[in-house]
Amino acid sequence: MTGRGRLGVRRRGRMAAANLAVLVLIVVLLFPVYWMLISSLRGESQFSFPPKLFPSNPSAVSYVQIFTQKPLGTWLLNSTVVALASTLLSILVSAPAAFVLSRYRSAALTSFSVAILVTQMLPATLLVIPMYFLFRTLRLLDSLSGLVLVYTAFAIPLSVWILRSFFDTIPRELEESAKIDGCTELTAFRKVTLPLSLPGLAATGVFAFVLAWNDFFFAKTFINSEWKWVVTVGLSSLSGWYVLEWQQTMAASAVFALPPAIAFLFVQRYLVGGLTGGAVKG
Amino acid sequence: MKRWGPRIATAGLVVLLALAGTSWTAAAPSSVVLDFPSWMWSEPGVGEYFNDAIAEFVHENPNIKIKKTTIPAGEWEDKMIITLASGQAPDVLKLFTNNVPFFMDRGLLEPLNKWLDNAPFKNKLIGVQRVAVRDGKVYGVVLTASPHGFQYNKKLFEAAGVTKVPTTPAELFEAARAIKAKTGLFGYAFASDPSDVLQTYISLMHWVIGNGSDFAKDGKPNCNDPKIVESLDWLKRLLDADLAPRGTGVSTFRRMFWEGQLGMIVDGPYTMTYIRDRNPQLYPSIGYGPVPFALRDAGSITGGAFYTIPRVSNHKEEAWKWIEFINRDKWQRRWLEELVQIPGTVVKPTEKFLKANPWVNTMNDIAAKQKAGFGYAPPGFEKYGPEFRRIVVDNWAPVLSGRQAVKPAMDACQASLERWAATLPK
Amino acid sequence: MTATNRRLVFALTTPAAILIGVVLFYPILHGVWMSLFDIPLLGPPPRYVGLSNFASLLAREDFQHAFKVTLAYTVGTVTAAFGIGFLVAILLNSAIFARPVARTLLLLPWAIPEVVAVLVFAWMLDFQWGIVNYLLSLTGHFPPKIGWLLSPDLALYAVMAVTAWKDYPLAAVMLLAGLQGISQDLYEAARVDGATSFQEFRHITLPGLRPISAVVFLLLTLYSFKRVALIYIMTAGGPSRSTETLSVLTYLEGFKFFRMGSAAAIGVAMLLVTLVFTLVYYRFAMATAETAA
Repeated sequence: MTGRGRLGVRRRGRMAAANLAVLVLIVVLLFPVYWMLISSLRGESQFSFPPKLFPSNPSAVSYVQIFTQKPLGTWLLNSTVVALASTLLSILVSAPAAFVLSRYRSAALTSFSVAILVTQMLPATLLVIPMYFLFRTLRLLDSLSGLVLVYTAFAIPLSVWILRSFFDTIPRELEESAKIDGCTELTAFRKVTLPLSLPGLAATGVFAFVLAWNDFFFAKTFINSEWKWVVTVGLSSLSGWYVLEWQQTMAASAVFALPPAIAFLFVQRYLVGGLTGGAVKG
Repeated sequence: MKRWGPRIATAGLVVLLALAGTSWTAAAPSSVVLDFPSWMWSEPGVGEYFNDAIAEFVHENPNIKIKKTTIPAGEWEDKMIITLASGQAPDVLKLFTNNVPFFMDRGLLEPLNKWLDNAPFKNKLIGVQRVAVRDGKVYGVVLTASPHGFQYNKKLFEAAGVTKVPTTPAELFEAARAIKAKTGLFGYAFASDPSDVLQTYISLMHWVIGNGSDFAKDGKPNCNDPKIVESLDWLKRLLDADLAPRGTGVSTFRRMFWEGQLGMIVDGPYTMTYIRDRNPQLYPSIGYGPVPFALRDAGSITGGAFYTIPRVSNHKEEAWKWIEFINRDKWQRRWLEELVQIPGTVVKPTEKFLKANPWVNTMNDIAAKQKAGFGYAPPGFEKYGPEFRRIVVDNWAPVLSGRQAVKPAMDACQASLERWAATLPK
Repeated sequence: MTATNRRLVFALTTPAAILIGVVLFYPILHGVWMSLFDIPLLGPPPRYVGLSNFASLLAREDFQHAFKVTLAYTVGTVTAAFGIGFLVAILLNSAIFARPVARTLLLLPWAIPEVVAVLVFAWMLDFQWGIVNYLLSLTGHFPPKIGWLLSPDLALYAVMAVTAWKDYPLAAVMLLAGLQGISQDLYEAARVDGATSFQEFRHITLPGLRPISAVVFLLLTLYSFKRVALIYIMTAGGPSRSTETLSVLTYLEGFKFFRMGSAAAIGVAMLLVTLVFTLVYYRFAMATAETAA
């Protein structure tokens, strides 16, 4: 490292700029989240003007209410189970398909890869009635496993395409050398390609999780029993015909955002730089 | 990394199997299970009423079980449409008054005559009942009626020095101005959130019907009727003078009202019950009277709901048993006295009750004079209500945003309605 | 392909194919079938009408209008979501302070349910009580109050803002993951050659992100094109139809006006448009991206 001083100054300047930019982005992009939190804690009326940036007499009473008066715990559990199951299933199904699409070329495979995109081209409003028929026939109405199937099916197209582009970046030679060592193609995929694609798997996993976690449309259509409600359906029950439980809705949303936030915190380390760089080199 | 894939696979399968099990547990009925969905089950007050009633009903009829499916209020309509469109239906279906003709005409409901003719409450049903009658056949039994009335905050009137309850639009305007000047609060509010077409339309209809008009007349669009322009001009004046909030939905202004931060509204009696439960100190200070428009007695809207039995229900006899049960005096009186709502049969309130809720008499008076369901559906276009209402609200929106006066907006409305009406099948 | 390979290919793609085929393809075919009928939902039985649903579509003003709104909405939201997502991904990849926390925070909008995002934004943009109008009034450069959701000129921007806010984390996560796929060797080699950081960005980072960007861009476009719930909850297509996209129109036609056949025809038209777009895009953008990779 020659010229360390000059480079160091430049680098430090750049880092300061990056940190500042991140700070600005956080303030701007997270303001609505902040506003949501403030609304859930607001003790005074929401109709005060000018709007206050800090609640004057904050109260956590709406948080107590949603857990005591409503079965928020059950809803959270249902959402968690459904989202985790959909995530696992969609990765299990998508990764092998993506691998094939990355390593083989044929007209049939190209059609397959475009066909799965076609499933993303009709609005849910048109799919919902045929799906309702279908699910009734399959006895999957009012069942959480029915929801898992729906979410998995919707997560597959993006997962396959994203994972495929990850597998594309991993040199085939690595698999070839593994095969020379006596691995089958499948084992090479599992032992060499998959570990190297961890960032892609993490990213698509997060995607599938969020997709299932946030869905409202299919959950409200297919689920009847109150004890099988997921959080989004529960949230919508907080606004009745006559009045919207504003504080409670905001409090429930804050709680709702917590599990995905924890998931992000947990998964983000797989998105850290340098992981594959080192591996590919070796 | 070695056994990573299989492990997750196994875990996933176990989770899935556990989940799949849940879908098979619900069935296996040894007795009749009545499917009875509602948005009311978990609502405070109303929920308890129905829970108590169902408990007693099930006790009386040990062979009947009731499956109370809760559907969030906002999802009710879509959910019922999807269920009915796929050929299924609940056994007892609650319908809003304005939806009854639609369901009746499409042949989705079972005629109730054979049971109702022998029912003890046959002659006690309130006037709204006629909404569910077509060619001598009865398709529903009224559950409740909600005549809209003029509600005002007497405390704010006092603070603003308003001594006389407004009886004309001009007086309402002046009262609103006084409230704004003295308290800084909004004097009047109406649904002005264009994303809620039905409520925005109802808010307009309060004024339009009150002035003796409607957006349709004899099966023809009537949007630029001078009476309509005259009445809606008051709404524009209220907005321009900043006496009414802009872009406000019903849930927002109802909340303002029960928080005591709003002078006057035109709304159903459920608002009163809500205030009693949420802000009891304010409750005695809320006045309830006839609307301050030209047609004071008849010029309002009545909402409400009906019990119906869908044609495809498998348990019609049992469903009727429920309807007969809930129309007993005991439950009808409780609906009135505990929930302060008008029940489906005529119940004479006790003196004690009237003393605590003096406005109920006024409401009953208004209800007696109203034509029910009046206002939601444009005469001659009942079948196309949602589309009709949407065209009106689309053309009203420029007035809400302040870019157009009422007259040109209503002329444009008339033109679009005529263009649209020409495309309808004869 | 050898026989073993063919068996492998078949075995690995079948689960995905079955799941998608049963859960999604069957309903799609059903949707296409519905577009050939006059279906008064909740009424008399469907009546076969051939292609007349499509013929009447082309003449309909509301269809043409909704098509334009959909294009504006899609272009606006995809550009904004991708742009913000790209910026966030690049910044989060650098060695910033408290990186795990910053990453979690900047992905947070993803975890907020659509209904709530709409409620919060609508309240922030409220005419009377909204913080946005209040902050603008402090600057003194704007009319005292702006009807963000009341004005047909502005409502679409408001809806696009919420959409972009909800979607950018998706782009950010995928691009962030994509950045890990770029070999560190390339950067080291460039540094040895004395490349500036802008040159590194221009010649290594950007080309490296190209394959994943192509996929993310395509999927964001497809998602925006068919999005219903968010727009409907926020504006229901109003005021004065200014936010009525094709997908909102399908919902109105089917569920509010009870013309399911006509709704399905709009849906099929959307499917055809997006399919043509995808094929063209695949042929030009993705194919070159693939050779680049």
